[in-house]
Parts: sequence; C-alpha cells; structure tokens
Amino acid sequence: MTARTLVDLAEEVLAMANAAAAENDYDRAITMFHNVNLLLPLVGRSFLQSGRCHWEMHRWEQARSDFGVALQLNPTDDNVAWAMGLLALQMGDFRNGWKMYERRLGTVLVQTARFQSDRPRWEAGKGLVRPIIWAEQGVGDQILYGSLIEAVAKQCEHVTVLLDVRLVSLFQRGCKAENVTFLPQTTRIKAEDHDSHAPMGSLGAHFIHEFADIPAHRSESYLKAHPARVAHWRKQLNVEGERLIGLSWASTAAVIGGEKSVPLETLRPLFDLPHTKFVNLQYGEAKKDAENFHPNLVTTYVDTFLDLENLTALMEVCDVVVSPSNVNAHLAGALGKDVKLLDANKLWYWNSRVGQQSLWYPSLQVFQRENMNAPWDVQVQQVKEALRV
Amino acid sequence: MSDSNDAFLDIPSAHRKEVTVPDITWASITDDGRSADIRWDVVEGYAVEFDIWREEKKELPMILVFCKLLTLVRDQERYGHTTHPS
Repeated sequence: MTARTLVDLAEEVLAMANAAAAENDYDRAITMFHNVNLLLPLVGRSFLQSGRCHWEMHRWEQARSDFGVALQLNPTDDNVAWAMGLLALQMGDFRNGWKMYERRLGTVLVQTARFQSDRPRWEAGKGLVRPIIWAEQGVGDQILYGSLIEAVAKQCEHVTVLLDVRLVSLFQRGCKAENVTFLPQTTRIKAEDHDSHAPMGSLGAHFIHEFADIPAHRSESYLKAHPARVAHWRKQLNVEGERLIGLSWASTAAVIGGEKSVPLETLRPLFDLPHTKFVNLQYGEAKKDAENFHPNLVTTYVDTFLDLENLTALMEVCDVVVSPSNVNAHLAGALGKDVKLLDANKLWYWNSRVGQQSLWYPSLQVFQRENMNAPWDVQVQQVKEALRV
Repeated sequence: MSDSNDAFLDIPSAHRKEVTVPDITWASITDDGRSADIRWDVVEGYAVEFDIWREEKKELPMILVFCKLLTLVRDQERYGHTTHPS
C-alpha cells in the first residue's frame, strides 16, 4: 500500500467535488471543496471552484468571498482574476470589474486572437484619434461590445473595427457614425492608418462605471438587415394576420453552452398561443430538433450559423424573438427586436437590467432562471404570459 | 509584425470563418432527363442574393446566376416580360 500525502488526498477530494459540480450537484460539491480547504487551505483552485458553484446557486456574496480567497492564494492566476472580474461586473462593481476583466487576455479560453501592432493601446481622452478596435471573443461578445463603437467614434477622427466577417455588413449598415469602417478580422491594416488599438472587450472600461452609464453610452438598433432580404422573407413566410415568433433554444458555446440551452420540448407550451407561427432560428446540431416537432414551426433553408445576413432578415420579419443566451439573442437585441430571453445567468451582462429590461438591449426582456438547478417551466410560463399581452 | 510593418489580427485557423453560398439542392434532373421538383423558395432567395451581390460588386458564383436566370425565364413565361428588382 502506497502512502498518500495530504496533497494526494486533497487532489482526490477536489476531483470528486469537480465531478459533483459537473453534474449540477452544487451544494454537495461546495461541501467537498470546503473539506479540501480545511485539509489544505492553500489550494486556490478549490476556492475558485467553490465560488463558481455559489455563482450557479445565485449566492453572489459567498461566491465573491471564495473568489477573493482564491485570488489571495494565487494572485498571478488569470483564470481566478477573470472570474472575480466577471462577478464584480455582474454585481455592478464596474471599477474593480473592468480592471480584473482585463486578465481574460491571459486565460486559455479567450486566447482566440491577438493584435500585432507597435501602436499603443487606445484610451479615451488621451488624444489618440485613429484606433483599430479588434474582436477577440465570440460573435455574441462582438455584438454586445460593438454597442460602444459609436461612443468611441465620437472621440475620434476615424475608427476601424476588425470583426467576424459574418457581422461586417450588418454593423456597417446599422452604424450611425460616418467615421467608422468595419472590416473582416483577417484584414491587414497599414501602420500609418492607425495610431492605437484596443480589444473590443476592453471598451467598457472607458465608458461604463455604473449601471446608468450603459444606456448613456451604448447604441441602439446598431445592426441592420438588408431591406431586400427582409422583403424576400416577408413574402416567403407569408404570415399576414398572424404573429410570427422567431425561436431558438440552444447555445453551442464551449463549456457553458449546454447549461445555457433550453430543451425545445420545454418550450412546447408556447405553441398553444393563438394565431401564432414560429420560424426556426436555431443553428448547429440542435437545429434538427425542430424536425416533426410542431406543424407551426417552420424551418427555412438558411444556414443559420454562417449566413447571418439572411438570419437577421428572418428576425426582422418576426414580431418577437424567443431565445436563450446565444448569438441569436444578441443579434435580435442589436436589431432592436422585441426579445424574450431565457437566461441561465452564465454571463454577467444579462444582470445589467432594470427589472426585466436589459440595459444593453432596451427591447430585450430577461427571464432569469432561479438557479442552475431550477426548472425552466416558470420562465417559459412567464414568457407565454408576456406574449399573451 | 510583418516586414511591411502592417498591423493585423493573429487568429488561429480554427477560429476563421468564411461566408459562402450554402450547398443546397434546389433543382435536379431525373435519370430520363426531365426536371424534378424545383425548390422555388431557394431559387428566389438566391435571385435576391444575385441582385444584392451585383449591387455590392462582389464576384457572383454561378449558382446565383443560374437562379436569377431561372426567375427571369419563369417571369417571362408567366407575365410575358422579365421582372426587374424595384
């Protein structure tokens, strides 16, 4: 029999606790993380994970306390600082939140793109007037932080935005500032054409210091579908005299996608609404869930993952879009559509709201699940009631 | 940095996206040389794309040209003249 050290034992309990958390058994996981903390109080990972479990159960102060210990133990761990930053942003502590949110750039999850330039980072009010703003996260984040581009443009001579090729025309068409050019993120920019740069996710730090700053600085209806495509889909879907709801139910985001998703079957009560038809806006494998689901749910030929031009044209024809937190929610919100969001609270920015109204997208209502283990039925019923009005 | 001192985003290839016309079967020819059902929803959608892409001076894939031609021929048969996007 081999001798086990305290560290071995702590690692074993830590693994068991992580497994329990992965099965959404958060309170059992927290107990085990607590045991690890008693055994070996230097295991920062345990405090980090315990804090994440408290987050899932919507116990913000306990989450902050655990993240705080984890950060004290591992001040150089970017994952811990990033988690702490996200929680601070969620709680409206923007000054600390943005500072720690910068640490995302050191984590593995956000290492998707890096801007190569010898120019300094753009900062508001520092006399830098020709910045390149570059996308470093997923499409949803690009749309969310893209709401601050016009605020940047007010302080600059010219702004170049490098972002996902699928979004370029939508942003350019919707942008109300004339000194902004949107380009695919693969574009090379001449050195003399810019004096500074900034990742899109860092723009909030320059403008948002309290909740009231969000509606003061973000744009509204800043994406625009092409009118000819909208006209085409209006004719094709032909729902004169009936309400059309755009529906999606799944997120394909790495790690948290499954937890943000709502099973399509859970949304079946919405199909009782009178004079209502549905169009399938779902992308990815989950799009197939709609096959033979209900005769009032129409699936088009649009590639809802790659062809965001036709996807947004479809959304524009809809009276309402119902979605969990995914790209569709951001697209519809930025188009200014009436959105009913089924939110699992995995992302901080859906908590920036007054009542149910999002501060980022004023036409979007947030229906937040009580915690990660609560059933969705309550929120689905609330959405149904809201749609009856 | 490149030799030309340009600035650029260094993106891992897995995160690069390309927008292309989806590969959908919108018409087919049967073994005896006749046309099978034509998916007019796709043909009309691609005809709209033809108009937009041409206006934006983008290179036109043949599939968009075929679909636009098909709608023009159909409209000529139906109305005695071809239609034009208003």
